[in-house]
Amino acid sequence: MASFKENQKDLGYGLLLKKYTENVTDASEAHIQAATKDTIPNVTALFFSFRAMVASGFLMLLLFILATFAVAKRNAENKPWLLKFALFALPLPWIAAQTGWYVAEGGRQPWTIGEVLPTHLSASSLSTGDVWGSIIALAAFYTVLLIIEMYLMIKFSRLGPSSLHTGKYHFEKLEAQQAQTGENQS
Amino acid sequence: MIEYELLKIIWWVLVGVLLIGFALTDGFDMGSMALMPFVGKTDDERRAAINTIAPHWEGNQVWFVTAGGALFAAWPMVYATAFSGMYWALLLVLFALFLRPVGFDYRSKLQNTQWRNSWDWGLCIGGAVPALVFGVAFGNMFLGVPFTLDETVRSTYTGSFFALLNPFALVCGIVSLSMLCAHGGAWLMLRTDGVLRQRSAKATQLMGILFLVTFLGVGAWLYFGGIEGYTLVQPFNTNAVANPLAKEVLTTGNHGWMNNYSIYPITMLAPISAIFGAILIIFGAGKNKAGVSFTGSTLAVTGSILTAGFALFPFLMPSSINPTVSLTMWDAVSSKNTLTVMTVVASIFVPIILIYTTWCYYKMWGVITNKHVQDNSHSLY
Repeated sequence: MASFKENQKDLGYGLLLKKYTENVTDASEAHIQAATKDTIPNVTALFFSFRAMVASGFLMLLLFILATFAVAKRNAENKPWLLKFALFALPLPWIAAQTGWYVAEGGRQPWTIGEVLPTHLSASSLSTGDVWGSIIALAAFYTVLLIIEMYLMIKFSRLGPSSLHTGKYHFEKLEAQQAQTGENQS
Repeated sequence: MIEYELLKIIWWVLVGVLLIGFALTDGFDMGSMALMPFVGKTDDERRAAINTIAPHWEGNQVWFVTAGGALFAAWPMVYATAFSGMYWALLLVLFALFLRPVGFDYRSKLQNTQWRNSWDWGLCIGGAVPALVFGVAFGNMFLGVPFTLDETVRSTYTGSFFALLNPFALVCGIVSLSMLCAHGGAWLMLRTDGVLRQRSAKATQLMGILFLVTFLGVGAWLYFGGIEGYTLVQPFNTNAVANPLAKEVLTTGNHGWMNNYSIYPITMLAPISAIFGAILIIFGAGKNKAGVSFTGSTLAVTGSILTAGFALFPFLMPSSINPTVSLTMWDAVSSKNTLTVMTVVASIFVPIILIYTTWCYYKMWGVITNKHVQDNSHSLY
């Protein structure tokens, strides 16, 4: 137990070597160099991803503050720049999530648990074919759902609140009017 | 501080409770949707069936998510081996489950009959396929799963998806499918009226009979069919640090999985309540007594999950190619620290969840009639 405690911090690095040599105690200088190199992340990519994430976050914050004022003053429709900003801000949460995901997951390599468990040992023993198969199946399924979803979204945004069938909104009134004029004519 | 050994037992019980909670709540969602296209002939009837579970199905599904999460936290080795080994089986479940949220949400958005029919069958698949696969997975536990562990305790699965679909496991799949269909049918009897309720009673009776026959059949197969059971070689320190590589396991010839029932006769209560439940389902459906059938299906679900759990105990996932690395509830568990934290969290949150879930059922209770569907046509599923 004492010797375990003494070497506890280094065990993860030993596992890191396992990528290059089965028997860690026989590792050559070249193996150690290669394992050491693995621990240096791709700094440029992380640098820009992190900043893209933070920038997206602040842009959203700015939009929310401006929108809060506009809504409180009830003059949002008089500010076309704000409406455009809101429209083009739609992808921002997605960009922030993706770049943030890269910062967290890419930046942590080669570890799954920092300095304890390397990724190449924590990954499952599934074959590449299995993983490809499931990715393709997921992408195909969600593409079909996306098409269906877009169809419904466009249909219902065109209908607007009339789709609620409360009888209070434009298209329903129009329909009722047409029905009435039709009756009058016949 | 609770002893490690006791913590391991607590988590065996808690994972069991979560599985039973899942099977009892999401079970009638899956069962009622699997039956829905058959018992509902008109659009209004089908919508009535769907809307009996509308306010609850997502909450019920959380039992499934929680059971998965508890598996990850309490039995990480089982989680890793099951989710990677039975990869395609679980993906099949996942894809079937995808059809539920979209089915519920999209179905009634358009008037088109073809559109609504397609989603109805989607919801049927989303109920029937997971119910079948869960039973198949349980069946394979009795046969042993072809996996082994290397010296860093990484698991490698050597079987294939089609190896899971062997006759014994498929019969187990029919046990769970018919059981959950009977449960869902009894639920529809409770919550609907008219012809829909009559057809549901008929379906419930049929499924109850199928469950009883296949449940007894699996028992007979385990007893007479030459399926090997597994036993842990003593002495085994149940309080030791969990390491699935540090034990010996014997496979014990015929009806080895029945040993626990002779050692602890009290466990016989589980299969007895499953059988008694099945009789109540059939009797209740025949007399058109929804409450009796639903009590019966609740007993049947609880009883049959416990029957499997007791038979396998202390094994969770036996290995067919290397029995000594079989995962048990003593050695495939998390550390004492993890289990202690989880026990504290669970003892606070599980009661809270139970309270608000019960309240939700209380508020939303009532019979969903065709008229109710017509009156609320634009706000219901």
